[in-house]
Amino acid sequence: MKGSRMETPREMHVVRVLAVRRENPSTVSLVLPKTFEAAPGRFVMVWDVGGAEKPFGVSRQTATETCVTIRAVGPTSESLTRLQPGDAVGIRGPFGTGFALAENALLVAGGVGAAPLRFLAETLRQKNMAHKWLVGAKTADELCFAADADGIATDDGSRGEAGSVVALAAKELARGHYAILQACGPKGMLRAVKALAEQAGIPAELSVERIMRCGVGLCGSCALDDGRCACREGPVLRFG
Amino acid sequence: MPSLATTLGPLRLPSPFVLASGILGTYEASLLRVAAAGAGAVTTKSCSLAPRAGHPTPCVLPWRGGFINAVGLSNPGVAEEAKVVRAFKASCRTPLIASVFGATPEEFAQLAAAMADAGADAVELNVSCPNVQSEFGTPFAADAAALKRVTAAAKKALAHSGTPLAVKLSLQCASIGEMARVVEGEGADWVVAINTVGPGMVIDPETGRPVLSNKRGGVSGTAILPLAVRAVYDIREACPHLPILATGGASRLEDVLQHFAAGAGAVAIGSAVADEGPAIFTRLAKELEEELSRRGLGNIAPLVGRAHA
Ligand SMILES: Cc1cc2nc3c(=O)[nH]c(=O)nc-3n(C[C@H](O)[C@H](O)[C@H](O)COP(=O)(O)OP(=O)(O)OC[C@H]3O[C@@H](n4cnc5c(N)ncnc54)[C@H](O)[C@@H]3O)c2cc1C
Ligand SMILES: Cc1cc2nc3c(=O)[nH]c(=O)nc-3n(C[C@H](O)[C@H](O)[C@H](O)COP(=O)(O)O)c2cc1C
Ligand code: FES
Repeated sequence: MKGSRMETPREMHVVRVLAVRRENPSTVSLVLPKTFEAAPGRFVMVWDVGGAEKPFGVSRQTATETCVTIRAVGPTSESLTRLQPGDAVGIRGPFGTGFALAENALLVAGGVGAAPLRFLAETLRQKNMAHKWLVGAKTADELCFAADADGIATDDGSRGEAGSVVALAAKELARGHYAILQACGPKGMLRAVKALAEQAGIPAELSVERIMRCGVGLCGSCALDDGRCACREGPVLRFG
Repeated sequence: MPSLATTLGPLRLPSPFVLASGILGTYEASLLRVAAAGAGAVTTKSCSLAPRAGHPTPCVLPWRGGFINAVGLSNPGVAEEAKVVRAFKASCRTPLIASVFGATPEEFAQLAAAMADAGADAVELNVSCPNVQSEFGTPFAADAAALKRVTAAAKKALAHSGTPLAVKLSLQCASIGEMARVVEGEGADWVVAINTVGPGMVIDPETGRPVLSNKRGGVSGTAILPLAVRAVYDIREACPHLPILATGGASRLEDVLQHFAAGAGAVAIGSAVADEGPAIFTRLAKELEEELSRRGLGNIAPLVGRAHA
């Protein structure tokens, strides 16, 4: 079964949850058996068996495991965060573009946007590539992977620096030498990161969110303003 | 240099490769991008009078042989769709075929007129979607008398503007050649064959549950190529003078050559857009040009209908 999935990874297949890790009061990571090769920034469609299917970034991959990290914000994500080890969950992918693996990268994450960046940071670390990654959220309760990050900011100052993670990134840019900004988080944050990269004269890679129904560039529901598909030509878009 | 230009009845296409209905066809930016990649025409996602949310996810699934989908005809409704058509036509000369679907002949007529008003270069009647049967009952494409009424009503609604009329047929009927004869008799300028096949079903073997939220869905892609080729062949046999826009399973030039040989004057590309994106229109045009040169042909006409010789 596993071997054949490796050949046709795009097909939906149901796996059993190996373990569940709580990241914060509203967010869990599902540890699933590895059934295909992903790359940082690429996403999978996760099926709440018998319910809906939604896109999630891969937050870690090891020789045997694939992880996704899910924040409960609506019916499907809530149901997925209630899964227990041994429960069935559907998965298909990986889809879309990934982040470049680049030296001297500054990674900036907002909230559950830390999911794909954790996979990127771990990959860069394994390859001994210089990088720093910053995580931010409104409050300490909404931070993900803060223990693994090189810098933390919360809007209310409940953990790390008080203020936005973009302000923290600006300070870091002034201090060190960076070749690229890579970010995932809410729209406003991404806009600010893009402006920051333009100021610094370095490229930015931003992971954007759109409504996704097929994940493979057919249905058109994820269209970007320029007509590209966020699922196929994104979610990671390069600027500059 | 050979010419890729072809015609569907009165409609002239700069290239025989057409974007199939329902593929990327919700926003004008997506359609414009497909046009910029060299498509000979774009077909919009089928629209109805009122907006429809469609079925919940999972609604489009890749599988070994292609795709299965039950998008459920989600669309923004005719008023919004008319804006998309206007915006497209204001900035692009590529022909736009507006696909519509209604519950009655009167609705089809109203929709056809609205799309002609908005500037569509042709109207395509989707009488054959297999994914909304619980709502709409047997598709019109399976019932000769109903098909006749729908086609006649739309033709009448387009008489004033003179906008060409196409009808999209389905394999879900006793004889697709017979259905083509019916719509030809009511003045259809060409037929489109075929819509997705089915309905089919994909069941997750681990839990035994159907995966699509709608359980049943239409099958498309490589798996249906021989079915679509046969449908085109049957139609050409029944109606030697009715132009055919082949739709189903085409991703390679050799698939396109089969559709031409069966009798198609143009070929729509649907599922194959998933693998390559709009660039597939650029690739197929280049490959067809090379093929025509290799055969010493000036255009595709000698390739059309060869299987009937
Ligand atoms: C490429 C891509 C990758 C994604 N990766 C992840 C991921 O790694 N982890 C993850 O948790 N989600 C991720 N998402 C978002 C996820 O797909 C769903 O949109 C989200 O889980 C909400 O789905 P739902 O059905 O539970 O709620 P819905 O009913 O769709 O939404 C409920 C409400 O929550 C709001 N909402 C949606 N998303 C968020 C959010 N992230 N934060 C706050 N409010 C929100 C909606 O606007 C709505 O008002 C990703 C989306 C995309 C497009
Ligand atoms: C996701 C998806 C949505 C579709 N939506 C429509 C639609 O709205 N109207 C329609 O007439 N056909 C629709 N179709 C059918 C296609 O236009 C085409 O007839 C069919 O997919 C066979 O061609 P293919 O094998 O090249 O995909 C849809 C197909 C797919 C895969
Ligand atoms: S989600 Fe369907 S085209 Fe991107």
